Amino acid sequence: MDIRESLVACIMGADRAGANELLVEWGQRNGYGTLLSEVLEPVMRDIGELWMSPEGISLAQAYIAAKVAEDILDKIVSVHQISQLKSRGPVVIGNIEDDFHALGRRMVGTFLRAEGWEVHDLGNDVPAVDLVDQAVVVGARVIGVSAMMRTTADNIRAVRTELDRRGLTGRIQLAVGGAVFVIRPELVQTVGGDGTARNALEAPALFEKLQARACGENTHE
Amino acid sequence: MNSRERVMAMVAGEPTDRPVFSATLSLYGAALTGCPLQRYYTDPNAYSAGQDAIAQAFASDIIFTPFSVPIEGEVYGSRVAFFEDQPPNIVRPAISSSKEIASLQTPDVESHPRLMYIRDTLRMLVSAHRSQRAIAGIALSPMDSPLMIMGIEGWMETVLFDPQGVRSMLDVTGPFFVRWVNSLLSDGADFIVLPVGMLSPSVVTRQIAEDVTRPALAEALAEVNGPVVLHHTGGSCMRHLDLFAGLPNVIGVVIDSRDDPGEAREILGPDMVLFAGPSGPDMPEYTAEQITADCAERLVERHGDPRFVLATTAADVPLATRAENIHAMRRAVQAQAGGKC
Repeated sequence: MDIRESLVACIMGADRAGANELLVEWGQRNGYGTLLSEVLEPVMRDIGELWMSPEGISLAQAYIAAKVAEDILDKIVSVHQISQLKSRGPVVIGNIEDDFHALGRRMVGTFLRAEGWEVHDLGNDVPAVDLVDQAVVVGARVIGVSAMMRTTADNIRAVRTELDRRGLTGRIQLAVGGAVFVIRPELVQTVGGDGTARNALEAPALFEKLQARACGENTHE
Repeated sequence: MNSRERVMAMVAGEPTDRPVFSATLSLYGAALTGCPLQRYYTDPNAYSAGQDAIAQAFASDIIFTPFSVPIEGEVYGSRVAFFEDQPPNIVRPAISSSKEIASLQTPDVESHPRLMYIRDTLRMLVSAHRSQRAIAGIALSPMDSPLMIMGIEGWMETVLFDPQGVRSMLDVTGPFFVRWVNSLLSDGADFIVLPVGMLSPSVVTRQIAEDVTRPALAEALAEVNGPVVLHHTGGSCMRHLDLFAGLPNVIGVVIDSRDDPGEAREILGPDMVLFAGPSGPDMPEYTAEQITADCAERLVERHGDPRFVLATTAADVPLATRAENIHAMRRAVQAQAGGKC
C-alpha cells in the first residue's frame, strides 16, 4: 500500500496519529519538498471522491481529513518550504452574523490553504459590512460565507446588499456554504450567492471558478 | 380503539384497527394557534394549546413534548436564539473544549426553569390527552447532549482525540440524562424518543459508534425506568442499524425516509417498533397526492408487520407545511384500514 492509500485508510479510520506517523516516515525518506503535490493533493482528491460516493463519509472522517491537511501544511511550513504553495490570492471567509457553527468554515479554510489561498478567516458571527470591508482591504475577489441554519442563511442577503451598494457586484464574488445549502440548494440564489460547494473539499474549486469569474468580469469593465 | 389503545396494542404486537401514524408536529402546533415561537417554546400553556389543536386537527396517535433539544445545552449555560419560523437553536455553546468540562454545573431537574417548562408542558399534555393518545417525551442521549453544551467542533475534537475528556463529559451528562429521562417518565410520558446522532454513520465511524457511543448508551439506558425509541436524527442509519438493537429499554427505532423498512426489519428483528415514512422537514415540498401515494406504498410494503408505524422522520414538520399534506398521511392509514379512523 503506498502513502496515499495508507493515508486515506487512516483518515477513513479516523486515525490522525497513524496518519502523522506515515507523514513523518515519508518526509524523512523523501523530504517534505513534494509533500503537497505528491501526497496532500491526491489524498484530498481521493477523500473528495469518497465524500461524494453514495455511502459518503462521516463528519468524523471529514474532520480528520481537515486535521491531516493541517498537519501536512504545518510540516511544510516547519521546514520553510512555504514557497512551494501555489499562490492563488487572498480570500475572506466567515460565518455570517448570528451563526456560530464554525466547523464547516474551519474545514473550508484548511482546504483553501492547502490549495495555496491566502485565507483571511474572520470567525463566527461576522457582520456583512466587516466581510466586505476586509475583502476590499486585502484585495480578495471572493468572500466565502457560511451558515448552518435556514434563518441565519437569510442574514447572508446583507452581504449581497453591501456588495451591490458599493458597486462591487461581480468584482467580488460571494460563495455561500453550510448544511442548509446542501439540503436546500435553491437558497443560494435566494440569499444572493454566486455559487456554493457541496462539501468543504469542493470549496477550493468553487473559489477558483469564482475568482476567474470576478477577474473576467473586471477586465470587461 | 382510540389512539392510545392502538399504540399500546402495536407495541405489544397485537392487532390494531388501523396502522399507527405519528407525525412530528411539535413545532406545527404554533402554526395552528398562531403563537409566536419564543412564547411557544417558553410558556407551557402556549405549547399545550398548540398540541390540543394538533390533536383536534390531525388525530395523530402520538403527541410530543417540545422538540427543542437545545434546551439541554441552555441549562448548562449555552446561549439559545429564538426564530420566527423554526425551533430555537444554540448560538453560543456553554464551553468550547474538554478543558472546561469541570466548570459545568449540572442543572436540577426539579427546579431549573427551562426544564420545568418541559415538565409542566408534559403534565398538561398528560392531563389533556393521555386517556386518548400516547405521549412521547424527547431527550438527548448523554453522547449527544454535549453537542449542545460544547458545540459540534468541540465535541468532535473530544471524541476523536481526548478519551479522558469523553469520560469526564459522560460523568456529567450520563447521570443528568438518567435523572431527566426518568423525571419525564414519572410525569407521564409513555416513552422517550432519543435522537442519537452520535450513533449515525453520517456523523461517526463504525469504530466510534461501537467503542464509544454504544457503551455509553448501554450504561445510561440500563438505568432508565421506561421504554425508549432511538431516532436516526438525520441521514441514513442503515450501516449502523445493528448497533441500535439490543440496547436496554429500547423498544423501537425511527429510520430515515430513504432507508428501506424491509431491510431495517430484518436487521432489528420482529420485536422492535419500526417508525418509517416521509421526511418531516421535506413535507412542504410535496403535494398531498404525493404524500398519500408514498405512505400507501410504505403501508402496503409493511402490511402484516404488527410493529410498523407510519411516521414522519428526521426533524419537525415545518410551519410552512400545508395542513392537507399532514391530512394526507392520515388518509393513507385510513385507506389501509378500509376507511376506519
